[in-house]
Amino acid sequence: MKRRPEPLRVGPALAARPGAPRDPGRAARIDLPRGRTWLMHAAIASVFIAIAGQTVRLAASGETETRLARAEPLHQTYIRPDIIDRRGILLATDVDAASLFADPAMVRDPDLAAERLAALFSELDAAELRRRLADHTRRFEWIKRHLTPIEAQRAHDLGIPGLGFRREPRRVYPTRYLTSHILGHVDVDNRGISGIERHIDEAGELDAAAAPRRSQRAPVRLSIDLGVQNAVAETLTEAMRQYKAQGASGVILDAASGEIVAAVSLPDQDPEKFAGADEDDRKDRVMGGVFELGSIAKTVTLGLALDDLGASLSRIYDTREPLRFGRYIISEQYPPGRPLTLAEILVRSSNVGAGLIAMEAGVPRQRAFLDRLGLLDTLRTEAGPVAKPLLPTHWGPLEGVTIAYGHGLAVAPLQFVAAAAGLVNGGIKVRPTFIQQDTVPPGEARVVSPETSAAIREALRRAVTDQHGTGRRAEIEGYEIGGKTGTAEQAGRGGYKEKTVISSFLAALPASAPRYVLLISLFEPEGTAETKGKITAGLNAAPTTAQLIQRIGPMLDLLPARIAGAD
Amino acid sequence: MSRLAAVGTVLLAVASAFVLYAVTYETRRLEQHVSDQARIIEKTRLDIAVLRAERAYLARPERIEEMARKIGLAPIDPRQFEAFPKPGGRRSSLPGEQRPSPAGEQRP
Repeated sequence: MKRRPEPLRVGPALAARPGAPRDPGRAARIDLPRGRTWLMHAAIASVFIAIAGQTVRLAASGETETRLARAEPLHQTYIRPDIIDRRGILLATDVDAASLFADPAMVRDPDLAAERLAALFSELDAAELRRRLADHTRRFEWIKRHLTPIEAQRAHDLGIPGLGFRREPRRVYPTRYLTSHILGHVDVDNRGISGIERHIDEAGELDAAAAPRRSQRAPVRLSIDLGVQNAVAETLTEAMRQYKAQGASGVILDAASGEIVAAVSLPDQDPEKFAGADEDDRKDRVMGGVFELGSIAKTVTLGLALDDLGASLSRIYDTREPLRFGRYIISEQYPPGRPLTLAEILVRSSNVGAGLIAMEAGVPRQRAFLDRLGLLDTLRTEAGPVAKPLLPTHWGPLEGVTIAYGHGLAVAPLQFVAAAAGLVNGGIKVRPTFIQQDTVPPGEARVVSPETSAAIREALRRAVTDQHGTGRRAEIEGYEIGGKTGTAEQAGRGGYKEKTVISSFLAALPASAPRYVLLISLFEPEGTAETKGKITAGLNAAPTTAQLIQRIGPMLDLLPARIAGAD
Repeated sequence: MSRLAAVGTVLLAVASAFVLYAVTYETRRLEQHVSDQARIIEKTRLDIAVLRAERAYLARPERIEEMARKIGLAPIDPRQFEAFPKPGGRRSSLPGEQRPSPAGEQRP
């Protein structure tokens, strides 16, 4: 800045200042500029101090880069933690994928661009794409998300100006169909929309995709064992083929912790294995559907008799006469022609016996017992809500009797197996979970006494070892299997259809101190030469369970009893 | 005296300018290096993620099972478990295994 020197003026006040030099003219000439110089120096110094201060502040704050903000519409994608199985095998992870976008304002020839892009990506609609690219007011349009590297290279090779790529996380499931109904799905922005993926979102483990493009969070460890899951899927696929079944489901639960070790529903989404199945068949049967499971419900009825009615396994029930309710007659499939003990009611699967227990207990006590086991509420797991149990509209004495032998109350297999686990594990209710538990969670509540639980285990074991036991085909040397068969006629239009059944086998493994509880179901099996045309669970579900246990026993760290007892 | 101080100050200013320039340049270089390294780390992490996914895909049980069966392996049979034999005890036979009996005949 240029300053015009001002003429010096000497004021009387300055001249008369006490202690001023004698020559007033000279003193004024020196004094005055000196005052202004100091002022200038002070001003300049303060500016420099300010600059220095700012420099120090910047240096100290560590903020060294100025980032260029992108003037694009904010599009948020997310990164997710990995999902692994209980042994650490990767089930779901994020990988980096290129997504193609266009800046319509920069696209010179929308027609040509749309035509070439549509030729490259067959699922794109050329007309719609042309309309979007021709809109020059827009600066950002997605063309296709999550390209494979080859697709990205081809799109790049088109050389169309105005196209660009953004790297985004993309969720991949290396094990494909084996766990798909448990893991669920994510949307295009990597947000969970179903199953465990949704649970991850709800648990707040989702992060916005920013500087780290991979989640830094610890992986989510499921209780599923992929090897066991595969063995169940393979065994059930083979059983479906062998018994010409329309579907199958299998669930294995840790009897103490409620951890779900395997949950398989077939047909699944695998198009290679189940080409003919339509979408309705592929729905999840373990959690997504409720079924009347037939005689396996007698396990619950046995619990009712032992715990609420104070009966012992040797108590005699006169099951010789069929039960009559108006026009309904409940009779035995295999009439033994003599009274049965309580244990034999389970072992021989006596409908009349189960009915007698229900009648003795009465509807309110039966209902309370089922409620205590958690068979009447809506169950929820991390994979979402389990299909709601279907209760009879009117629960009278007749319904009580039918529920006692497994008809009239429809529950999801997972919910039933959880209730069964509570009955055999010493009487502690378990909550099924898909997440591996570090410690065995404290039991929620006692459902039956330890003595009742022991008696149920004994009866289940006898159903497999007894020569009249319906589950004797589930016996395999070495493993001490306890279990109950169930052949349920499926409800159809206008009543029950005799020829379409769900045959199930409920197993406790090993029976004396169960570590696992299994439920295997075959949907609509047909009679084969092997089963002599019969479709009862003892002939298809029981041997399937035996095959399965033989295969998964070593994986579940179960030693054959002969060896386990040898030390 | 004051002239000397002025000259000294000017020299000091010039010298500090050089030092400042050198430090700034070095800092930029290091920052560039840091961001390059961070980018490499990020890229490597992403590559690791892809490789882990590929490994998991290749190791999926249904594929391993098929390959294992091709080379003649089968699921474990309960009879394959064996406790340490007691002295004088006999080992039970494995599935498909043919052992000569003490008399040299084939067991049924």
